[in-house]
Amino acid sequence: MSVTKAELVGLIYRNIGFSKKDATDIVEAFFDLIKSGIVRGEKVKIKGIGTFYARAKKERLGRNPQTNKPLMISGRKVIVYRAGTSLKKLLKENAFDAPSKDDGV
Amino acid sequence: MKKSELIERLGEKFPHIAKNDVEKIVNSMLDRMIGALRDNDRIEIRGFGSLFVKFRQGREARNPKTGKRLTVQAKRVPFFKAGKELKQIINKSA
Repeated sequence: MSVTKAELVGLIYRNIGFSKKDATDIVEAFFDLIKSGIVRGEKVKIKGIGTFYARAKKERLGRNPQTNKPLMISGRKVIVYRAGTSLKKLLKENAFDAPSKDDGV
Repeated sequence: MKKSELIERLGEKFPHIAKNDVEKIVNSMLDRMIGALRDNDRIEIRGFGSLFVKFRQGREARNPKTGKRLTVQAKRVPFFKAGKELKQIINKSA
């Protein structure tokens, strides 16, 4: 089961004991703040998870794989995520032998 | 922006919630997210993106400096895929 906003809301609402409205608003605001930080060009560093930031990509010549025609790919911004050391370590140390089918690829 | 600043900004938006409660909320959200990745579960936040774990098989490699063979252990690495909305807003501001 994947973790969604709804689950995080439930966690705050049930386990910590805030109203459903506050819980919903806080979860929403939490991700909005991260987003707006990235948009402003900040590096958003969340201990335990990692760092998010935007990087500009230059325009480049690509190719339409279907028609094989060359075309210009416009410059754009992409989000870069760098996993934090503690998360990398946690996953490395708790290595699973066999990936199960429904895991993200 | 780091976690403490994020908590501070969040606190400003919710003046009726005590600062240490905001901190508690953020920490429990992050704990849940980290726990999910540890258990190979995905995190899917609409409008933001998803975080998930990829598997890397162990392999034989060489130390490029010394040329010595070495075994790289199988490992799990976290990945992030930005959501549609985030990709859009980031390019609008360009």
